[in-house]
Amino acid sequence: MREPGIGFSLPVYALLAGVLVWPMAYVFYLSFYSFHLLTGQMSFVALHNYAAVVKDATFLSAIRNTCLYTSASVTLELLLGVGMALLLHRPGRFMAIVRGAVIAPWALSPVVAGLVWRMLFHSNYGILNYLLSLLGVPMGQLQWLSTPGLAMVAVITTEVWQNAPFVYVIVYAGLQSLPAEPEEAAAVDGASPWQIFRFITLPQLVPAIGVAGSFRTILALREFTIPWTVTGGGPANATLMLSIYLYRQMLQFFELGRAAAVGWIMLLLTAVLAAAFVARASRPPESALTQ
Amino acid sequence: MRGPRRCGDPRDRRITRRQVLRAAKDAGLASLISSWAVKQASAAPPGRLTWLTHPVFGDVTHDLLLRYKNETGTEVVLDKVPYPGLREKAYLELSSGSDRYDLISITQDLWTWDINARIEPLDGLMQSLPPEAPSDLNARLLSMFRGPDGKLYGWPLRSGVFILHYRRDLYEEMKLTVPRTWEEYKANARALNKPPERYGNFIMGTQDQFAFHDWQNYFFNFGGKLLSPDHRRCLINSEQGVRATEYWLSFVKENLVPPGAASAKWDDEIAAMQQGLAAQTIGWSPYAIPINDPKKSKFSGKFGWAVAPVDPKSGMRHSETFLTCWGVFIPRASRNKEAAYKFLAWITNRQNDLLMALAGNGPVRNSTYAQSMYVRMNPAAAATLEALKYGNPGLPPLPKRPEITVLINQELNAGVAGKKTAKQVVDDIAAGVTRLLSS
Repeated sequence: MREPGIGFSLPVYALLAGVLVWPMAYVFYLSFYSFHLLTGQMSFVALHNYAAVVKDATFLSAIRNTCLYTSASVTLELLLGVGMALLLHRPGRFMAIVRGAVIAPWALSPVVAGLVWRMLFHSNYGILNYLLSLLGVPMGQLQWLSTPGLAMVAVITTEVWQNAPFVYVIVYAGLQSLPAEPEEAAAVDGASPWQIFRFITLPQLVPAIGVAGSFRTILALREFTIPWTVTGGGPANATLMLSIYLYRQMLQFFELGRAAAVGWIMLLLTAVLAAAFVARASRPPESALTQ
Repeated sequence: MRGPRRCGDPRDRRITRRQVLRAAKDAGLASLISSWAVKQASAAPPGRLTWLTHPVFGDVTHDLLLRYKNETGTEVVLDKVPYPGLREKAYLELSSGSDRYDLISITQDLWTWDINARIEPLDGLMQSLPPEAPSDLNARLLSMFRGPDGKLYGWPLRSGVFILHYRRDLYEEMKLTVPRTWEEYKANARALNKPPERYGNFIMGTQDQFAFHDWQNYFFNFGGKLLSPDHRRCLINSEQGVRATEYWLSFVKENLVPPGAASAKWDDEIAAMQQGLAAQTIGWSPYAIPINDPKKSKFSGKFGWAVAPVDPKSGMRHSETFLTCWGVFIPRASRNKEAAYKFLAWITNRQNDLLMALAGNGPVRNSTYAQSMYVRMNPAAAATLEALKYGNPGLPPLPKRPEITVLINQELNAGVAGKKTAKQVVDDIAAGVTRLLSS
């Protein structure tokens, strides 16, 4: 029997097709062409754009950097976010103010966050090096933004500072919805606080952590603003992310075909990782309650 | 199963297919009309010019724009966009054939010839409406905006060339002389170096255009040439290129520059000179004004300026440093091309070039550099004019210039970060650039 509501859904499908499916299909189509925006010349090159990108050492280094950046920042954000949620999920006199304050970084524009942290990490005028100098580390000894390894630490720190509150908000909401009875029953049965957390609270939080983790993974994989404003991808390409590589192809070189190929590679990478996260998050939680 | 209909049943209020089609038709018509209206509204009407430009021009032209409106009735509206968004927006506007802007500013080193078909050549307008004292306009700057067809595509508006900025008080105190050779410059840097309070030099080694800007001053003055005359081969890994790069990187290795050279940009350079962290540098000439600004600099009045040193072995008679200039382009799609050109000719006449220079601009007329008011305001004027004569604009505006620039910056930055030797840097640049030129 024909669904009566299908006709009403058609405009939504049409809109989605127009703003999502068609652009994606067009970008896919473009990825098989050499198309320079300024000259307007367009010629079919089959898989050449993909081959050129995959052979480019800068692209491979961007993939490595993006994976390192994403895995490190999402892990730290989850640890910090869950920790903050557990700490702040208890009654207290000033808890409302504290809960509001910890999400402040998340409310800040990433450009502002990036520029502020760039100043904080400055070798000669940064407050971080100033504080270290009080501990005996000479000013300028640590060149945060000029040393490849330290520059990655700097961008990850900025990313974690800004986005751990997002994980906190999701996990805190999850904690609020948990029933108190299982924890109370476990306490009566003599379980230690750690056992209660490990075997009762944490398993029930897995779906919330999974949601937060998958969101952060997807967003960190395509993160542009923070690495761009803090280091610009340097030094020596040590913080060059896929998004910066894509930006160069698209808006600095105007090589739309190559940019389209990079965009599709990024999409596939994101889809695979996001699917893995969603699959993990949708597994039923293992807990004492379900055993 | 559907039940019998009753009064007020929602199914009675169903929207018919005809209604949906009519609504879709109306929406389509409305969007067509509104897009046409937006297009009409976005094009500048007669009596108003729209100018896509960098925020710096808001500061240096502010009073002049008010005067221009009073004198001619033409309002010039600025759309100020900082880098790197400015170049992107400018190129997207030009390539789309948009008539939104009548004037578009970008620096010469970011202009590429492949956009020329979208730009109005200015030669015809110049002939029919000659600017005031055309021979006074700096010929070197004008030549930078000529295309391969010899036509003039951009109008110079803000010039700058790299010169030596040094702490005159320290030079006097230590009895140092203004260096004429790189050897003397290094000797001065060693004498002035007193880390961590003060360093003998400053280099911009960050992974964007600034590393390339900075390095070129050393490279040209070692006698280096970027490309072969036919633009097919990269000559950066010549003997001069290796020596220049080794010399440039040696300041980092010997700790003669403040920590953080691999992320240092133009604003760091200005701050280092203002705060006394660096005692000398080869920097852009317009920076002399903020470096010497009594409100911002701890050492205002204690600076000196001169042309950059050269390598005596190169056989060069004159110092040749990187020369760059902001140009204004008139899009071919503009509806107010003549009015836009008239405005450019007016804003760069002798009086207005001086007024802009007094507001912090880099003049484009030779006569401005000799004006006593300007020399009082900018004591680096004489050194700047001398450096302008032999300034080198670097890479020609080849279509591959953006990619070449990114590659060179990347490699130079790797050298500053200690990841590559000078030889590896220039060899990798030469191989990469030659590959790009042949692609």
